[in-house]
Amino acid sequence: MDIKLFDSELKVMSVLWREGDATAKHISDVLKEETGWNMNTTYTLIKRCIKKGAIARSEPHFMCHALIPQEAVQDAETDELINKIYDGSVDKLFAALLSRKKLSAQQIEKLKQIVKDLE
Amino acid sequence: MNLLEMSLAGAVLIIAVLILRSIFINRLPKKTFVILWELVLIRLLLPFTLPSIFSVYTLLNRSMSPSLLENPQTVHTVPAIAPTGFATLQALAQPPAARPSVSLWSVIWCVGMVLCACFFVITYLRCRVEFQTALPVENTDITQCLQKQPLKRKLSIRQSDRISTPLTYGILRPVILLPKNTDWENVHELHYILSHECVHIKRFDAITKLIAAFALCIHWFNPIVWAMYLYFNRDIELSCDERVIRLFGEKSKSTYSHMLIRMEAKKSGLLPLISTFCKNASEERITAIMTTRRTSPVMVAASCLIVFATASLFATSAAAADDSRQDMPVAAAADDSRQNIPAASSPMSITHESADILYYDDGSPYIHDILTNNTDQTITETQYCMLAYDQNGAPLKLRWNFLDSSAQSSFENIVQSSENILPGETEQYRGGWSLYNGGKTEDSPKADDGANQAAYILVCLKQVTFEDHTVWKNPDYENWLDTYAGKETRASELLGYYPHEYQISLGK
Repeated sequence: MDIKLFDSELKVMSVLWREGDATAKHISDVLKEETGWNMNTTYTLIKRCIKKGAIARSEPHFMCHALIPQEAVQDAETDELINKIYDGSVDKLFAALLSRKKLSAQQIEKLKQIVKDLE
Repeated sequence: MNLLEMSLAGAVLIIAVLILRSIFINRLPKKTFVILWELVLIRLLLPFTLPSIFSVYTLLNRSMSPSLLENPQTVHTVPAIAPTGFATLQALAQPPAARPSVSLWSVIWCVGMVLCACFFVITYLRCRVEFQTALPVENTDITQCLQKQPLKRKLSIRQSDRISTPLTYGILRPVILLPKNTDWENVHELHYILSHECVHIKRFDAITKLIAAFALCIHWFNPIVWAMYLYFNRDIELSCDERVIRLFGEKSKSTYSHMLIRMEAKKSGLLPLISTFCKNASEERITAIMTTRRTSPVMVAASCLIVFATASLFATSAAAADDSRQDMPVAAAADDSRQNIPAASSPMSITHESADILYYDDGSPYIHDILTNNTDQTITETQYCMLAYDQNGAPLKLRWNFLDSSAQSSFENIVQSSENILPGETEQYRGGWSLYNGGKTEDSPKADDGANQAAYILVCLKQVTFEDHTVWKNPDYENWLDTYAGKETRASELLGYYPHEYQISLGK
C-alpha cells in the first residue's frame, strides 16, 4: 500500500471498517460523538481520503465505501515501524515487545505461542 | 499624525527597546520587555500624540534649528540644471521635477498591506483546518494536570501527528495541541508543557500576537517593525518560560531546558532553511531560562523605571514646538473663518519647477519647462516669457522665431501654452520649445545663431487663465523683465532660480 494516511484520516477509515459503508452524515455524527469534530472537519477529512484513493464516494447521500482494508493499513504501518525503528528486522521488534513491562503474563504467553506456531 | 510619522516614531521606540533588551534581557524580569513591546504596539497603532517636555523630540527641537524640523517628510527635488548646458535626453525619461506622488504611495501601501494580511489570514486558516482534525487525548495524568489550572474558559487537550512541537490555539475555547510522539509516560515533562501553554492562555497571548501581526501588516514597509514582530514573539516565549520556572521552582531550570533542547532536536529536521536562526533563538531561550533568578524588589523597581523612562522619552512627542506649530493653522483658520486650510505656507501657488535645455535625436536643442499647479483650479492657458544665457551668465539675443525669416533676434521670447494642468498636478509633457530647426541648421551653421551657446533658461509667467475663465496677471512680471532681460547675471543666481514660485491671489 503506498497511500500514507494521517491519524485523523485513519480515524475516519476506522468508522467505515467498523460499520461498513456509511453516509458522510453518519460518519460525521459518529465522529462528533467520539472526537468532538464538527461536520466541516469530518467532511474535509473524507474528501482528503477520497483524493488519496482510500474512500470511494457514491450517490445518493454521499455514500462512502472503504477502498483499502484495515489489514492493508496495519501491514503498512507495521512495515514502516520495523523499517524505521527496528532497522528492518522483525526479531528486534519482537524482542522489544517481549521486554515491555506493560504486557501481561497472558499476552506474553500468547506472543510466545505465535512464535512457536511460526517455527 | 500621519502613518509615516507614526511609523517613524514607532521605529525610534523599537530601536530604544532593542538596545535596552540587549543590555538587560537576562538581568530584569522578562515581563518588562513584553510591556515595552506592548507600548510599541500602542505607538504604532494609535495616532495620538502625547506632548511631553521629557520627549526626545523636545530635546531634538532644542538642539536643531526649527526650520529643519518644520517639514521632515517633504522632499524638495531641486531640478538638475547642467551648468554646461549639456542636458541629455535622459533627463526626459526621468522628469527632473518628479515629486513623490502621494496617491501612488498610498496605492503601493494598500497593496502591500492587503498582501501581508492575506498571508497571515491564509496561513492561519490553513493551520486551523489542520488543527481541528486533531484527536482527543485520553490520559489520566493530563486530566489531573488540567484540574490544577483554574481557567474560566473551557480548555481541551488534543493530539496530532501533523505537528512537531506543542502549541495552543483558540482564544475563547483554547485548545492545547500535543504532537503524537509526545512522551506520554514522562509526567514531569507533560506538566511543564501544559503549564507553559496554560500561561499563554491565561495571558491571552494569542490576542497580543494578533495585534502585533496587525501592526506588522500596516507598517509592512518598515523593516524595524519586522524586527519588533520577531523579538516580541520571542520575548512572549521567554516571559512565559520565566513564569513556568517560577511556578515549579528554580531547581526545575535544567530539566526544563533539557526538554526544550530535545524538542528543538525533533523540530530541526523540518526547517533546514531557518535552522541557524532558530539556533540563535533557542540559545537565547536556554540562556534566559538558566539565568532566571528570583525577582528582587530592586529588579521590579528598575523594570518600572525603565518602562516609564522609555515611555516618557520615546513614546511621546515634542512638547513646546508641537504646540506652537499646531497654533498656527488654528489662528489662520480663525482669521479666514474657513476650514480645511492646508497647513503649507503657501495655500495657492504655481511653481516653475525647472526649464532645462534638452536635445532631440538629431542634436537640435529645445527648452523643456515643467509647471506645478498648486491652486484649487485647473489651469487652461499660460503665457510666459523666456530668456537665454550662456554658461558665463551673459544674456543671449536669439532668433527665437527661426521659421520666420523676417523675425528679429531678441533677448526675450513670449510663448503661450494651452496645456491643461489639474489642481495639484505637475505637468509632464514631452515636447518643448525648439531653439532652432534641425533641418535648417544644415545650410546655416549652428554657431550662427548663438542658440547652441544657451546654457541657462529663465522663464517667468506673464498670465494664467483658469478653467472658470479667471485670469491671473503676474504683478511682478514687469519687475522681473527689468531685472533679467538683457542683463548679465551671475551663474550662481541662474542655478538657484528654480523652483520659481508664484503666489496666486485670485481677486474673488
